[in-house]
Amino acid sequence: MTTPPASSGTRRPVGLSRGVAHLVFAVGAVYGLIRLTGAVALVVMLVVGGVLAVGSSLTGWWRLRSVRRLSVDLPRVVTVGDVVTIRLLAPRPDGPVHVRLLALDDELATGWLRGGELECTVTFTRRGVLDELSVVCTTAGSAGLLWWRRTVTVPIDETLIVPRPVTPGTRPTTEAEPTTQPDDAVVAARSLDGDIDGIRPWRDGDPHHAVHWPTSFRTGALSVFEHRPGAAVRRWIVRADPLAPDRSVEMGRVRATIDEGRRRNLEVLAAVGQERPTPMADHATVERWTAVNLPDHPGLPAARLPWRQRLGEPDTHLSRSARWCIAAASAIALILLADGLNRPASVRAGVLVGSLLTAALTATRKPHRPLVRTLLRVVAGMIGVAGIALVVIDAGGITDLRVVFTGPLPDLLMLLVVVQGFECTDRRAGRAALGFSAVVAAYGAAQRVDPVLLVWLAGWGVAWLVSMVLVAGPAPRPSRGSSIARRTAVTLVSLVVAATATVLVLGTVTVPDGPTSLGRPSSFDSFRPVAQPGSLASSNGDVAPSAPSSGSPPRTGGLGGYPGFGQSLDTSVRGEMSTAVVMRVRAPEPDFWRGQTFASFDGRSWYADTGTGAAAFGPDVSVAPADGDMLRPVGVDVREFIQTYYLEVDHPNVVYAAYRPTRVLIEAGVWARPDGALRTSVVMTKGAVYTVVSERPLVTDEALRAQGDVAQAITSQWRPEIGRYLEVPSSTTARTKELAAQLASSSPTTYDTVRAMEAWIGQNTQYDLDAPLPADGADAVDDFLFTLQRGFCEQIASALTIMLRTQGVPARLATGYVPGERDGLTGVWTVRARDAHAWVEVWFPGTGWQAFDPTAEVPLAGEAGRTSIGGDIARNLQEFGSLHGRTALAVLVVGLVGACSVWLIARVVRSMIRRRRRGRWGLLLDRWSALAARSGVDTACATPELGRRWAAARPADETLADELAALLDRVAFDPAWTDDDEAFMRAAALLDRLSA
Amino acid sequence: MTIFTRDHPTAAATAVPLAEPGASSASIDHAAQVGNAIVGAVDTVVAGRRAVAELATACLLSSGHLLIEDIPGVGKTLLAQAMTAAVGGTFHRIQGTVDLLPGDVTGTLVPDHDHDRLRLRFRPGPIFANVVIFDEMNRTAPRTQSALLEAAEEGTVTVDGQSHALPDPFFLVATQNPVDIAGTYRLGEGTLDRFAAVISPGRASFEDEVAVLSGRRGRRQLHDVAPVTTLTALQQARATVSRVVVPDVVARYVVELLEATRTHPQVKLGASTRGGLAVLGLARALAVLRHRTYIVPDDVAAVALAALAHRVIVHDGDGSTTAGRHVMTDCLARVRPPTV
Repeated sequence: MTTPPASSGTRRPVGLSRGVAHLVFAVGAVYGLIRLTGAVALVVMLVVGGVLAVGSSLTGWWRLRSVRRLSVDLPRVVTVGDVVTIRLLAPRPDGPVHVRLLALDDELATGWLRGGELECTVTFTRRGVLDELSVVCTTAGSAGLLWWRRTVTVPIDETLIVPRPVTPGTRPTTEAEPTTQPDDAVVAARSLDGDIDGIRPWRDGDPHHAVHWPTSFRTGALSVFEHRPGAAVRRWIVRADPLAPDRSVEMGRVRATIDEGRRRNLEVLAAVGQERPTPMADHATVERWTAVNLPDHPGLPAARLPWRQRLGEPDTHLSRSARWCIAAASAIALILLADGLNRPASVRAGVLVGSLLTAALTATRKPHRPLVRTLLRVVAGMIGVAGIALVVIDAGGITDLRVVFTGPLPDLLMLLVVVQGFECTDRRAGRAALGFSAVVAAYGAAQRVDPVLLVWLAGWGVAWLVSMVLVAGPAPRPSRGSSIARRTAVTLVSLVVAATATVLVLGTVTVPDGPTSLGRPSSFDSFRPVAQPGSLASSNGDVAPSAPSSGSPPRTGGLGGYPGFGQSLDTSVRGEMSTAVVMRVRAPEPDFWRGQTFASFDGRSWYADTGTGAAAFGPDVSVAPADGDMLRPVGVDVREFIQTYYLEVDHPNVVYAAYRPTRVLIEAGVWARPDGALRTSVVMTKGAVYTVVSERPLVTDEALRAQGDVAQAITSQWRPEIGRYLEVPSSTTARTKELAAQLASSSPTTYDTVRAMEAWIGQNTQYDLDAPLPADGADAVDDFLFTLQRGFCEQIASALTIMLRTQGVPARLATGYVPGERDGLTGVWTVRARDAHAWVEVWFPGTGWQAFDPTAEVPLAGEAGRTSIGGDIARNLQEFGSLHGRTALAVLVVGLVGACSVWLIARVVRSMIRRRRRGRWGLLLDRWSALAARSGVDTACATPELGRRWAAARPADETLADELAALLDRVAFDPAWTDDDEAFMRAAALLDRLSA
Repeated sequence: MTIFTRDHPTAAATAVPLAEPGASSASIDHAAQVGNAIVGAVDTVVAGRRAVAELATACLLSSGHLLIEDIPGVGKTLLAQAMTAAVGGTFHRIQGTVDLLPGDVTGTLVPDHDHDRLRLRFRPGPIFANVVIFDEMNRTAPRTQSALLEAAEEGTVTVDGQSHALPDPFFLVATQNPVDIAGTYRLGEGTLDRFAAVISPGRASFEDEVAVLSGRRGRRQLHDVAPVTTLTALQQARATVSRVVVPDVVARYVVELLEATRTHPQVKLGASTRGGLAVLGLARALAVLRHRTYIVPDDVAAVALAALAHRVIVHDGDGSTTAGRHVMTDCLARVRPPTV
């Protein structure tokens, strides 16, 4: 039957699945979106997809390792044209593998090797001797992207493919020799069919003298005598005609004749043409001779498969489950995008209904009738054309390319994705739909910065990955060979490996730069000008009231919940310390998001002047350098630093920006004040988005130290601009100046002075939000430094500023927000109300204003290493773990325990239901079946048959087994049976004796 | 053509009581006694093939007709003769040859002088008997084979527009040689369908063959077989058999078997509903032979081969039931019988 060891070729990639080009296109599109928007979530998407694609491609390679040794069951003799069932077995099955069976250059069968087994029916079309089969195994990974092929040559014990016996009217030349009666021999040669003495209907070629007239008259049909061959004929030589048009048929006729001769007990010889005849001694010789001689003309070359099919996926069928899953992925992606673009709910409902409707139309098992299909295409085409027409008509109103990215382009994309659903009926279209869905999801994810994005993306990702696997799966799901535990383990290990690989890869990917100029978003939900242009205004547009003055400490409030955004800042008023998110900032690195600066201090409060500065109008506002700003910093590089601000609550009309803003992309007017603060002409309400391009001097310790003593470096050229940042209020006490001088004298450079002062404050004062107010008339700085030695950021920053000013170093107070926390997935900085802060800006002659902060840790621009995305995610996870680790563990344990108990309960319930359903007699039979199965008896049979099989294995038990079987059958099938305990006890006793 | 006649037909149709659901155990015992007596009688003649004898008897009791198919010389005719000898009643034998005509079987109109008037009188053919053996049926032309259709199905014969009822009980036992033997006409599907069962006795075992050759069993014993039952008892037994209960699960099992033949890859045309009825008829009779008032799936499995093998039309079949037997064996293995 089978098989010496098979020889196998190497595993090599053969091609890609259908529709992979669309996925490649999607990768390109997502990459483009990353460049355009700088969204971190897209990088994560791309890396996860890449890791899984690589993993899946390698899975195909891995799967083929087990198909090295194949065995094939083939019968020893096969007749041409017969349907033969053959079984192909591969050890250690590991996922579905597609095989093509080739023999004698013909394709015999194709199919999926499932559970290590392929049973197929094949038909041989050409005679010959088969001593090996080629098995071309192809497989792709679970996601079915890259196809691998391995050709295995399976040697088999010689199989003869013999011709089908043909008994036609004319036969091959048969010589009957020796013939004593030539006439008889002719008759014998002509009428080999049904040769018995009798009468049979007339056939072509029968001699006239053989007609049996009486029967012919009586039956109305010409009948002839049938003769036995002449007794003297002992030997036939059957000659095959080498010029016969169909050699297989000719050999079939030869075979039939040989068989006939042998049936007549003649000596039969066979020859091709006039060759020397070979004696046909036995059946095996006949089979071999007819299989080997006069080989068939090679048939027409088998129709070559299209190259795509030869190279890649053997199947084009898209399963229903895959179609629905694709629809789910598309719907989630479309809603994500519609949500990100703040489209009305009707659009979301529309895309949802559209996705599901197209899926329902295309997922039906039956192919649609041509009319319906055409109708669907017409409808889809009309929708598409109408959509494009609408966009084209709308395009007249578009003035800026950026509008296209938020307006017509995504709308058109959504429309086309929905319409493509009508065409999504095979794997290529399925993968195309998945590619489009990825682009849409990426587009949507790029628009959004909220943490809910994680949930959306996770849902989309699961649907997308499941779709990929389902699209690639063999049309009917393969029967599962391995156990559920093994499958679960394999899945878990794969997931862990994939997750680890993803984080590792992401660990090497740094946070991308901000959006490029085309993708810099700016939008307002509402456009409301402020009452007095250039002045500070609250979110309702009114002119800002002055901050609450001295009262009972500590007071809170002010514009935007923080007192730092007003004309004046009372150092004894602190901000609102809630954790409410006030805005999110997409920026690659942390920095201070500065809102205001203050120049003059009266010992208690800081004041900004009432000037408005130069006005410019959006959407693209260039900001000129303000007081003390350097156009080209000396000794350090400048890097463009792009920040996009997404306001989550109402803010005052302050433009937050990292130092030094050069451009603001905002749909409003911007006043650039001389002190560097930017104010808008409209109310900054919740939902407003704007982008700031800053040019950050990449300052480092060395660069600042190299500038030496700032006080001596101030030239008269600078003095008009920065003179007011040197003013010290009259209330400043001597001991403050003394302390400052003392700290400065021990420091070689101004930078060291700043650090020394920060260190002194850090050592000698305490950060305290509930610090009491200084006494009336007392200097706030003196009070903080020497009396209370407790305070919060405004007081600390004021103290540092004034101390620096006493040493002739230009310094000012800045208010705004510290960077906040970075979200690993969206890559944006989440800024909360408690992140509102005041810090110090010190002027350096080479690099301009430099922020220092004794309390918050924000690195210098040149030293702020850009973090990697993987690192951010890992840090987020770690933070989550340290915050909620116990909770998560508890949830996990409770979940596991819950799942286990549900499983156990389900088992118990199932077993109870089974016991109830089977009844005591059924359970008795089950016990017997289990016993029989243990002793190797096949139990899938009727009960009496089970008894007989049991008795065949243990003849001593025959009567017992028969009786038990009869009793069980009676219980099952006798309508007159009434259950009684006595019979059951009897049956149980019988079974006990059987099992003994 | 040779026609042996042992007796004249006596169309003694005894009224059979209408079938009522369920059979009393007394009537079952009685019917089982009749059936097993026939089985025993056949078994003494035809050596060592009790299962075949049981099937043949079941066929008789289920009011079906029997086709025995095998190579020459294994006792086909002997089996048929033993059956008839055991049953009693009238018995005719028809030897199939190529020139046998329908009229030779059913009877023809012959001229009859009656009071100087010449009129045509129907002379019944050999088919008019309680038991008819049609030997080597596939040697007759298809026309003659078809003449049996009406007789086998409806128990009547129509000649010249006039129907004539056959005696009751009427039991047709035909034999045929394997089809590839020369000079045969394969039976049409319609004709085959009229037979409730096709059995193949096969060769006897070594010991039984010795017994036959030494004369202890075989044709010699045929003369010793006396009718073990009366026609009336046989009719009652048939009535009892028809009252055996078929549980729904067993009926489902039969339909599943039929479905399996219809979906089998080698089958061109699966078994018909009539095939299912034949299975149940035989299974009922087998249940009676085993003293049961109900059918169990094992009965169905035991008769399925005989009742269905000739009813499935196999791709590239050669006209014999060999391919059908393979298919049925396959189907029986595929369909799992119901249990308790």
